[in-house]
Amino acid sequence: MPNTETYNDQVVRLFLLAAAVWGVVGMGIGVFVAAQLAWPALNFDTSWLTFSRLRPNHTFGVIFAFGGSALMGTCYYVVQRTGHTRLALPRLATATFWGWQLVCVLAMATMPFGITQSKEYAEPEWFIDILVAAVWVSFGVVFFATLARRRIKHIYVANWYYGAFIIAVALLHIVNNIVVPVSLTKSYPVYSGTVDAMVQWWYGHNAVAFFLTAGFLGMMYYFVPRQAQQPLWSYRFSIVNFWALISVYMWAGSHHLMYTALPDWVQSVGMAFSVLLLMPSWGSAANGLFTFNGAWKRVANDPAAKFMVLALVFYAASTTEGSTMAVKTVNSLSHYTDWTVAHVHSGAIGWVAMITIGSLYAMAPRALGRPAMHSKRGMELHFWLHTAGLILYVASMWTAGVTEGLMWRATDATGALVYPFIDSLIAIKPFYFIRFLGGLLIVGGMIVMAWNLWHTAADARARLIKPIPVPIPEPEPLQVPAPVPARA
Amino acid sequence: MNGAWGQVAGIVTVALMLLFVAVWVWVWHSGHKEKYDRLARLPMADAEDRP
Repeated sequence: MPNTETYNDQVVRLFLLAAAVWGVVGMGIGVFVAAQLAWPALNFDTSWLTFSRLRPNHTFGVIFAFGGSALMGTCYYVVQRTGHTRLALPRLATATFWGWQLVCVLAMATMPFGITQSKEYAEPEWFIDILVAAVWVSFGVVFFATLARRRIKHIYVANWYYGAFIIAVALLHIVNNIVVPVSLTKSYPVYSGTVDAMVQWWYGHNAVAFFLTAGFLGMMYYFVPRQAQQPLWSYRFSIVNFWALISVYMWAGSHHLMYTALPDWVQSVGMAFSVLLLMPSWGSAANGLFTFNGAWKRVANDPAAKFMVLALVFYAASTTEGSTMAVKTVNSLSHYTDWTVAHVHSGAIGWVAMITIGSLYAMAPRALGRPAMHSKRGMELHFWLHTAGLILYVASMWTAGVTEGLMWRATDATGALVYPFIDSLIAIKPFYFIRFLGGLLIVGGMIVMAWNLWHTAADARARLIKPIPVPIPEPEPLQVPAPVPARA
Repeated sequence: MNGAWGQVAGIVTVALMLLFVAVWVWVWHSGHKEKYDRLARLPMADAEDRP
């Protein structure tokens, strides 16, 4: 059959470069707010520069701007390659890129000025939420329309994860953002009190589950076998893990509200499902790591593969930690301390950022029409900067968190608290400085990656890239859906 | 929570557990082996540019 169809990588390239830029911006803000905790004078007595105003910009910047751009770009790349078909609705796909960038700019330009719903990971006000919903539905339409025109009968497992990510995030976003606007810049939720808290943490936890886990597992299930140049260790196991993960994750959100006004049995349900989550989490981590079996020499020489291996190790470690922290007795020590911050960043910098960076390094040369990244030494430098920064970050925050927990619960023989709160702040101050140093190394690595991608994209900027032809397989007998004919 | 609701919750829990076991059995059915082995290699095809 003559091959006249090519992959649409234009929108992939846009998302790839946006991810690099947002990575530097989002993590840069993170380093600045970390510095504010070590040196509070950096607030400059300016309302929009205070920690409370800028911290949402850090979380939104790294999760939705950096992570979201990487997820949407890799999703468009993977769905084409695993379906042997061109992206459907290319204009709508390009619109999702510009729409998502508009969302990120609007959110990060309004939140520092107090235009916020004050809900964690859902801070943007109602007019931005409507835009998010419109972009997200468009993203889903492009993804599922592309799946519908695939030429491989079975839907590859990475697309199952991407599909669950798209559907669940739409559901979470809409339900958690049902509000009554009272002006252009202010709204109030229809929920109140404990119900509002429960809905918020059902959303908040499942943002972790379906945005920061399912989406990035989709990335992992495609780019790990591709980079290892080995078949996925167990395709069967990946299917079981998919159904286990999406069945269990939805019910674990109440572990964010231990020892609150939430009914005790709801807290216990959250704890039980959190412990169950160990199985699919370890399953996917093992599946990814075993895929590298027999290819460890490649890992030694390939910085992208190094990022992926360490990402999988941190996925297993941070999910184990999360399940442990959801146990009520452990939670009584960890809650409200910097241990939670350590856990979140072990998952975010260790798992999410590292699988993203590894996948971007794997995808970039192909999408940018080059045989390899501009600088392999730059990739190596990035790996070691990121790893050193990650270890400094999580080790300092673990130590700070356990110190706080133990000092807050210490009582004397009469039952009175041993330490005033200020003593715990003084005790952890050195760890805040170490955390700042760790963050500085991580941002340094991201700047190296942005520089490397910029040079790798030289041909793309000069519009010299030749589109990659879609390998069109012979149709299977009685294939459903029928294969789409090749087109120019 | 009244008794009848507890019975329903128990039945649903057992049904979900059986469904999960059914997924394992279905996935490990020998008829799927060749297809899954082929799919496990699918991402490797996208590496023509490797040095």
